[in-house]
Amino acid sequence: MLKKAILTFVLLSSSFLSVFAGGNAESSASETPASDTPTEITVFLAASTTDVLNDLTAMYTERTGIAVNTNPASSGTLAKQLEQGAEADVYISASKKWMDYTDNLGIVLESSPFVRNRLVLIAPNDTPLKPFEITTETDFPSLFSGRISIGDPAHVPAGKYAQDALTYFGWYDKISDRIQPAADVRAALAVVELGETELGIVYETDAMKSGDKVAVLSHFPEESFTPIEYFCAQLTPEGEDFYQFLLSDDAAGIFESYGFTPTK
Amino acid sequence: MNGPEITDAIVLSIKIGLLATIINIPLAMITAYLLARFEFGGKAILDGLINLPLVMPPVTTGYLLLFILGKRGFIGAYLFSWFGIRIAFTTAAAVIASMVVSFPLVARSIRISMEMLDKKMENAAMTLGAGKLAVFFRVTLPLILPGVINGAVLGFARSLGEFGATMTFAGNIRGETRTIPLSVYSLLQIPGKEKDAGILVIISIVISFAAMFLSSAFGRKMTRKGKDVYGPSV
Repeated sequence: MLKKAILTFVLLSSSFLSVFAGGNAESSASETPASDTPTEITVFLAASTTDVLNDLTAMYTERTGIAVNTNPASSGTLAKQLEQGAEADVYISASKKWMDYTDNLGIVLESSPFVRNRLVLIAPNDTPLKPFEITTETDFPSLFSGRISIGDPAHVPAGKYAQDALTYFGWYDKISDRIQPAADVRAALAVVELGETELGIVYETDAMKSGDKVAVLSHFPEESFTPIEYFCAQLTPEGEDFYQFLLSDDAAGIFESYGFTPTK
Repeated sequence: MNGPEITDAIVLSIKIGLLATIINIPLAMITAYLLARFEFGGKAILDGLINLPLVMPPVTTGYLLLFILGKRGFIGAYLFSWFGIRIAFTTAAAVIASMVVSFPLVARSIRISMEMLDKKMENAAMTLGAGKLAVFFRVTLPLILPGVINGAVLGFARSLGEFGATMTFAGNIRGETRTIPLSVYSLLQIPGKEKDAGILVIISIVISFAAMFLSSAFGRKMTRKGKDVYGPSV
């Protein structure tokens, strides 16, 4: 009985220690000068870059031995987390808006646009709709009877681009009460994959990742939305190496294989 | 500007909470009755299944619901193709999510009061010629009423706080499924909306407090009434 109690206590306290020891290591790492290589870094990334960053961080860890912790969410959510004191070394935003917002917080050491994306109209794979070209002649509101899945335009860049595009064609006001807002672009994609809405607007790279679960009906014409430009930012000296890695040709190649267009 | 959004969330939360509770009460009474009075095969499994949402992460509960009742779920697919009924991502889904997560609390509270009830009371009524229904409505129900009310309040409070299952199964649609917690969450994603979120936080504290206060006041009244009616004879 006593043995058991002691064992339990040891197990519990060691797990507590390991958790808090992690916290300590992190805070002391940020105090040391930049020349010391960190053992791990934290990257805040736009949800649409989740998969490509999985590949990139694995590659980076293999090369440098530095572990990368990732926190994928909508760019707006991440900006908000950074504003409230979340500690990250690198931040990837899917729009200029949230990068500017973060820059205004005074925590960005360096930032740069680095890849581009496109906006597509998608439907579940069993859709009766055929691929078509979106023009001002399209009767968009009568394409579907239920809701359309997009990211919440208030904080999800993909949702904001979608809102811009729909507004450009004068459709947004007609369908604004039929929008099903999601917490990030991947959640918007998942809703269409599940067949819960007839249509959705996501990035081309998301639709590609989804494979045959969704059908791409159309690409939104470039002039209908602000160019989709991703930005990455270095927030700490420890983040510099990974930031440079994101801008490297190697990373560009991987981004390209996921459907992004590198601009560097 | 955000006034309507806040009002929408409050009205919707109360509506969903009330609906979930009202539908849950009779279901919970039947379940509690079965569990408190009968021994049958698979009783432990039924008990476990009912209590599962109490300990399961709500997001996984929501995912299971989506898996079952979604448009491509294994029941939801038939509902849609046969009747054209779509449940996921509607107010109905929010009600169902709230029902499932709050059901264990309602059933548990009713079951405890049923197990504590003195069966002699019911037997006495029957020897005096009361039918089964009359016994239930005039003896059993009044005696377990404090437990029912307590369960209802706990269930309502749990519904008001429901977030994970609702987010997964019902989405975050303003005026349809964006309840107080989802609204607070959404407002906190947008820089500069802390004030609106704060207002909602205060309102939800007030609603929860009022519910608890009402239930304890009602509970006291019921116990007193119970003593007046049945006290001296026991």
